[in-house]
Amino acid sequence: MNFIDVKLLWRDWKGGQLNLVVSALVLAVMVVTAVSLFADRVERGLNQQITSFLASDLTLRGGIEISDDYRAKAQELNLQTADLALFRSMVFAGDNNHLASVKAVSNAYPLRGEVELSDDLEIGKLSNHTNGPASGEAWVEARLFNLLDIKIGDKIEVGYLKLTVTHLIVNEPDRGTGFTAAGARVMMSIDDLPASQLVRPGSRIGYRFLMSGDDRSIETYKKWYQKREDALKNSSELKHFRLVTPENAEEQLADAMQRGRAFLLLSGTIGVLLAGLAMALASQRYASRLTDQVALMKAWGQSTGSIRRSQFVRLFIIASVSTILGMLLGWLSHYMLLEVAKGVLNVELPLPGARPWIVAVVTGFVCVLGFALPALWHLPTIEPLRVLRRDLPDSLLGQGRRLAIGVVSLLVLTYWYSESLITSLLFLGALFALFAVCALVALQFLKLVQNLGSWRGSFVRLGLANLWRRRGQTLVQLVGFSTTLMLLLVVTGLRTNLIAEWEAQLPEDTPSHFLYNVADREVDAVKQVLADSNVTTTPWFPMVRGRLVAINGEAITRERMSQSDGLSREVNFTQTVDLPTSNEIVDGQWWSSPPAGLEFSMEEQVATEIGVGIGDEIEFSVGGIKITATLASIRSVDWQSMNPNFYVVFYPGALDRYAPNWVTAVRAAKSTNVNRGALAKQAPFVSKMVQLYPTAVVLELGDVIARIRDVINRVTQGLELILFLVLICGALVLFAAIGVSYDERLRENAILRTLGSSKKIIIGALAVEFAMLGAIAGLIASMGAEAILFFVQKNVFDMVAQWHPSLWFVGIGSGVVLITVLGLARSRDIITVPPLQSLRQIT
Amino acid sequence: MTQSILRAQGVSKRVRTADHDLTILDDVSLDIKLGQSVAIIGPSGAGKSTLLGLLAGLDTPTDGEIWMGEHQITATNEEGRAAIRAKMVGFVFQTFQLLGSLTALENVSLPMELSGQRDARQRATEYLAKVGLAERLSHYPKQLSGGEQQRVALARAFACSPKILFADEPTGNLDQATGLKISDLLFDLNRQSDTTLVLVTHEQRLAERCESIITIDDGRLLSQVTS
Ligand SMILES: Nc1ncnc2c1ncn2[C@@H]1O[C@H](COP(=O)(O)OP(=O)(O)OP(=O)(O)O)[C@@H](O)[C@H]1O
Ligand SMILES: [Mg+2]
Repeated sequence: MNFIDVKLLWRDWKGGQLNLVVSALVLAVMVVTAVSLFADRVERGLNQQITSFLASDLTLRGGIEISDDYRAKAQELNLQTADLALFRSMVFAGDNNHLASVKAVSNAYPLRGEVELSDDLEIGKLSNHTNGPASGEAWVEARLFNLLDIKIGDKIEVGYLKLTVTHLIVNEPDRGTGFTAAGARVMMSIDDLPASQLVRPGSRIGYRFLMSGDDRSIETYKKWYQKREDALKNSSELKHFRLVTPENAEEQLADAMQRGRAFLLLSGTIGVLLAGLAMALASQRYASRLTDQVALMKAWGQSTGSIRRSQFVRLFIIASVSTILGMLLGWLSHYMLLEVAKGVLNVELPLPGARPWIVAVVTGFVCVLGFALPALWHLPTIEPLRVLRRDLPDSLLGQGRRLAIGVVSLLVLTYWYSESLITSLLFLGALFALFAVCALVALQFLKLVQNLGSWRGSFVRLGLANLWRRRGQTLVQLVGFSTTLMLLLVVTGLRTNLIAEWEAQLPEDTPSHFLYNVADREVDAVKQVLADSNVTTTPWFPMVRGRLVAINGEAITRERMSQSDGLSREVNFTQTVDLPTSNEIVDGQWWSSPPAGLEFSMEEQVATEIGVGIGDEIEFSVGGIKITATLASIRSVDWQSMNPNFYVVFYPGALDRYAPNWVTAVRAAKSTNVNRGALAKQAPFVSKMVQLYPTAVVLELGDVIARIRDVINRVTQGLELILFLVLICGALVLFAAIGVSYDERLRENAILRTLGSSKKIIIGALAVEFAMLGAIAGLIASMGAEAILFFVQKNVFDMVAQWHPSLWFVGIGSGVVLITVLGLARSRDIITVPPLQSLRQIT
Repeated sequence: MTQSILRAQGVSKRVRTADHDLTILDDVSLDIKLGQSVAIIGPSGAGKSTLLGLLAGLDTPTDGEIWMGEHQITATNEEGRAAIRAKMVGFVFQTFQLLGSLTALENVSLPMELSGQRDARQRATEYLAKVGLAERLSHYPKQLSGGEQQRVALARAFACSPKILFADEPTGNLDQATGLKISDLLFDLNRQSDTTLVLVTHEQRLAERCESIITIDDGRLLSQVTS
């Protein structure tokens, strides 16, 4: 029985009856394979880094210098230790500068793993080191060579310090998460840190205390730390430090990756859903073609059981071959996703594990079981009498039941992809709601169009009437197409329009640069430099970082802190007499005269979040020193203004003893230099600034926007790639839906032609039908996309929403062109086969 | 007396329709001998096809018994009947019932392949030559005329060497001249293979070529005349 199954299947394939089922299945598997291969390899790459992520067995992290009791315990246990300080700083060489990620390390670093260095851009010889750079040396990442136009042996300036570049960093054990949005790495000795003068009270520095030793001592240290933590649970002592073990570092990343993978797979699920729909429709047609064959075989004495077996064998072959093909194509297309992600990901990508392949195989087989099999299920039970009485009804599974099986299959897949029932229910729920809305809107359009047809020329009427007459089918096509097109338009819109529009909406006087980390004693001189360079600035603000520790005398417990973002992290404080521009008082009073005691003003959202009102006494801690002040006013802040903004503003005087750094925003004339390459983009004042005041940091707004745009570009390009595959699934739905009415159309058109309709009229009617279908699909897609973009602009970007005429143009245009071309291509037999032959084919 | 191959005893078929019970066949008894050719004739709607279906074991009667050789096909279930059909029965239909996705050769060899016959292709080629289609082996049904299609169907039926061949209006869809050629071929092949032939037709001329004529009307057997 087995050989003949393959033969029959091969003949069905050659006869074109399996094209749609197979291509839908291949596409579904391909989408899922590409996405999960990509996710898996990235995940593995990141995880591999984690194993030596810490460059130690334990790492204590803190925003302030590690306190002595933690060091003492490590010493007592005889652990090896090393110190790190991480921060961003301008580094420069000659006229070039770059905002680098500086890592100052003690000589014992790394305790675990090795730093891989090279002396050559060509990465000829690699050398492995288990110690950090010596005093006076700097090791740098290769891209800094281009950015600063330097080579090995050149000097670079970091703060007030000149360091000699001695090696290139190829790899470091604790490189981080692998996302390279930050500046290029510069590694220096921690002993040089004081001389650089980069560490100031207000600077944002991450401290790390690395430890390693034998398992017992490490365990003891962990227990000691945990005990200490437990004891402090209800105290108000600030939690400055966090112990990171390889396990909890991995856990965090694993969590993030799990979410990312689920997101990607869920977007792929839309493809699976559409492919499933196409498969179900195509299988139904395939089944009706097989009916005679099965009846004949049964008349010849084949038993129900053997036909059922044969059916399974055939479906198994279809599933296997398509799945393998889909996996192959998925493997190829995951390289495209990797290519897109390359710029933001800086990890070695190991080979994928088994899971993506398992995901692919399961997807393939679940699709066959959930979408194809239900439509074919009744075949083996067809009565042999059918060979004599063709009017016997076939006991096709009810539409409702097939739908239910399909939905359950999808649910099983999404649940398996996301590993969360709620996520998958929400996702499918949202998707079906979207479908429902699209269907409702589409129905209204169809009604409208139907009325339109009654007064138009003959073939127009014919085409439009067809649209309405087969409205069930029309709706399936519309919904499948318009939702995918909508998502594609949204993603493309995000990529091409949104950032540009946001940038265009920035006020004329939006600053071009931010200047921060300017020391007290440098401020006057810097102001002079800026004035000489003819750039204007917004007011200067002194800035310190601190946090809230008590409200009305009641200490904020760690428990409470963890509930509110505004409480758990350090925020920026300033002091000023005048209400900053783009701030508005919403409650209380801005000072008109010096207050009697210490008073401050707070930003609206933070105030609401932590639940404080005018008159409340709040205690702050700035670098461990505490101050108490009364809340005098609450402000709303227009973050859009791009001016330096602060959560907490004191009346002048309160912060004097904390040695604040100064910040300001600079408005330089727009750089006319079109070639904004790495070397040629600097406003003239910047190089002057950083050379004279090397510890100050200059951040160019254009840079920041460019970086955001780059990330958005890559994410959306990746999504576009996936959605493009999904769109092909949508095209398959179109094909399959045309197939459902194919024989009927063939007969109708044959009759029309024998009655004397010209070929022109028939082509015209078909073209009108598909073009209108495309126009409606495009219109719905554009409406939906515009609505989604409106929401994003209003709520995410906080900007005035805009119309996007190009989106409507592209949406409707591509809908009309795509559907007309595909539809006519699919219907070409209807047009070309002579009427006599098509009449004969059907009977 | 020759052995009987097909025997019906008091066979009735009633179906329940929306408002009343409909009797399609009423108490039909008949006996067909091995190697005999029998025509079932009668006006349209008389129940000829229904009787053929029952005799071939494609359907079960409401009352009565049917024997095919030593098997009582009314006493077994569909699986059992399928096994008996596989062993003994072949069909030719009014609408040819060729599979559109298969070539002429494939159409003829399929039933033999299904029953696991080794030399299926060889036999199929041989029988297609017998029906005069040696040159058309790789043609698909839609490339063949109606008469040619029915010849493929005849080749398909006889290649399996069935004990009994059931033919429901084999010339019904063909013009007179072609129909005549097909019936010549049918009787030729039948003679060569000693097959028992049960033929439904309403063409008197075709019926007269059979050794025995069974006439039914309105579900009742009027006569069985053996010449
Ligand atoms: N399952 C059924 N349900 C209802 N009516 C049926 C059923 N089977 C057969 N009939 C009816 O029984 C009658 C006899 O049908 P049958 O097909 O056997 O006639 P026939 O003699 O072959 O006619 P024709 O020469 O037109 O082919 C017809 O009126 C038919 O409609
Ligand atoms: Mg009949």
